[in-house]
Amino acid sequence: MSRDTEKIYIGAMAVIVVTYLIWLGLAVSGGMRPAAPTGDTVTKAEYDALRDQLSQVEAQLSQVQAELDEAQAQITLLSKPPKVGLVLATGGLGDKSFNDISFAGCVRAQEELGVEFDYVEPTAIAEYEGYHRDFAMSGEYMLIICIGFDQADALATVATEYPDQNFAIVDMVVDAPNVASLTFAANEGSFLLGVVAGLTTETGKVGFVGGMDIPLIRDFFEGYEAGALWANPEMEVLEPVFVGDWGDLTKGKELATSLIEAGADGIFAAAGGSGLGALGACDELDVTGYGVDACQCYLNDNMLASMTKRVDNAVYKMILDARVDVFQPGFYGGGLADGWVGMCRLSDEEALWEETFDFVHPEITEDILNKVIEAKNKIIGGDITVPTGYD
Amino acid sequence: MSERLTAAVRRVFGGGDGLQGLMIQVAAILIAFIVGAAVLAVTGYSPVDAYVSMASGAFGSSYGVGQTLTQATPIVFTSIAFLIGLKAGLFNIGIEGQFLMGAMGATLAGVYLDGLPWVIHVPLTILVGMIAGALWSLIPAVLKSRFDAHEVITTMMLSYVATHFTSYLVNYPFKAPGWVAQSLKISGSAELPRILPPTQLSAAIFVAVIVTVASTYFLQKTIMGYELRATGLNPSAAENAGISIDRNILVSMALSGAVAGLGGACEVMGIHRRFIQGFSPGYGWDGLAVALVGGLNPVGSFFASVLFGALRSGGMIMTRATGVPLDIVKILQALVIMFVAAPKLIRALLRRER
Repeated sequence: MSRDTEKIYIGAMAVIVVTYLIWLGLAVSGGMRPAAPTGDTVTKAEYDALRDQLSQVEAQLSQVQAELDEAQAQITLLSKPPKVGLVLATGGLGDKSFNDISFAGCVRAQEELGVEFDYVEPTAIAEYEGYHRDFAMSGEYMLIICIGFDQADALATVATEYPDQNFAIVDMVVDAPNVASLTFAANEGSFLLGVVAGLTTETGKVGFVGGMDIPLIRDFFEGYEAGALWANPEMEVLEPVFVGDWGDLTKGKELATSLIEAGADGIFAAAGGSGLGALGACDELDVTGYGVDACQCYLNDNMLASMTKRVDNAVYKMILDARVDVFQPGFYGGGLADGWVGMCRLSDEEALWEETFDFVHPEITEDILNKVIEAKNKIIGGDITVPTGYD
Repeated sequence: MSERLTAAVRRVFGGGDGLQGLMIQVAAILIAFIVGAAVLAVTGYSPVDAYVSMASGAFGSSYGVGQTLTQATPIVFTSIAFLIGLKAGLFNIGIEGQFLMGAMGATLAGVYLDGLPWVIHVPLTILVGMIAGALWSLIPAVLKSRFDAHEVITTMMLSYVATHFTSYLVNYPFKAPGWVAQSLKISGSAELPRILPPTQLSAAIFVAVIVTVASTYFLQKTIMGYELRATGLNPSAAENAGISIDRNILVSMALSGAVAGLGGACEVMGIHRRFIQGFSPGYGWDGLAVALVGGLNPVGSFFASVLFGALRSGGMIMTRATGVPLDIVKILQALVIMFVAAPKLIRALLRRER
């Protein structure tokens, strides 16, 4: 940098600094204040009137703003898909049975009806009440679905606390004005299973392993026995045995073994987790096993058929009703005619189950299937009255 | 064997001295949550959403606080029960069984001693629950003092016996009509009142506070408490000093079982009002972990119980609102225990920072 340029720089800096100082001085001393208004004066009355007008406009504006906010909130609310809450039974997802089927019903509703659903997997009966209340208190759900009879006590409490919340319970009756109770004519589906068992037995004896000696489970047995004897009057259905527990595989296995030793070559197990033990015994001792609730035939090669409780259809119907705003609390009992129970070898179900569980059923003869369909039609038509376990 | 185990547990979980010990516990918990966040992120959930909904679920409303304390209450009892045993050098890991027996005792007293005024019925029901728990824990105590059977084995096995025995009782002799394996409801005069409806929080929380204070006082200020601690620290020295080891085994196990039984009684009287099969999701087992997280003292256990209670109650909200499976709560609990169990490591890390 040459001396001259340096000088120019210093000079320029000096000019800038001096100008700035002068400007500051003027500004501080008030030389730059705006001049006082000269014309355009208003009287006090005019001024007050204008101010009133202004505040009125402002009030109107804020009112319009509030209305707009409200409308926008409503739009967001309406554009959100309606929600369903699902409280599963204590077995949790992955039980390849009750919980998984209920879940499937909700998934179908989500896909076809444009609803959303949130679900929880309680691990103990004692947790149900908290979950029910939590779902109800949030106020987000048009319907809360409770899977399994052991939720009844908790639901009865919470349903009275939230009278405006709709609930549905599967497999149990809760008498409250905002609860739909969904039950299944298990005897009708079991009848069809009995027909298969009656036509395939070689020893002329079949058996039944139940979870607990309660009417709900007796209902399966009554239908099964009647079906077997309808199809094969010569045979014998052994006295039913009960595990007394839903999760005792060992005892389920022991009881099934005792039935097989007594001559049974077909075992129908309606015993939750204990039933898996019973069906395992069938596999080991090479006799036919019959499953329950969902198609359980994927379990082993000795499984021929399962009675199905179509909880998915029931759950779907309730969501559909709620979606189109015709949900009715009260008692619902669904049988073969409603598609709420069935048998996994029927043509309208077989592919569904094989796809879900990725397996292929063993062969079954056309004659047996025709007899099953005949029974189904007669039950729907009222020609056969299936005995129940409730009386 | 037992002394060495005790000493090892003390070394690892003892929490350490004063403020630094506390800070290490807190740091351990924070690290557990950070690792938990990583687990959430890897499994495809948003850790922020999960933690926010968990925290607001656990503490964001009076309902949340109530549910948190509800969940914490039984663990306060079981953790203090465990540490009373441990102070005397006994690994009473059968708290779950004593808890269930206490619950069953209280249920029977609540159902069948009908027609009493509540001022008599409530304390009586509590007392029966405590006695039931104490009697159940006295079996392994006698086996130990008489035959030197190791309490880790006996208490654990008896815990399973209690689970199945109580399950049998509500399935057969004391089953209420209906389909669910549960007892009849206890009569209204034996109920502990709910103090924050609609939450399930009951007056049991006050009992838990009393037990926390009383057990601190007992362990620190009474001769019997001193003898228990002396037995736990060095049995042979204690024996030389004229303290009866056998007597202390019986006393500490009975107290431990009584506190566990009290917890079961409070759970029945305050929350379920009956014995439902499988009502305890493992409160007794949680108690062991919580006592360790709480640095093996009653007050620490109380706050660690609140933490675990918050994880459970917040977790319930989280699983509904965000779809994160509740199992993440179990992972977090396990992580907390793991990191608390590694205070030596954290202490070493802190030291290197300095």
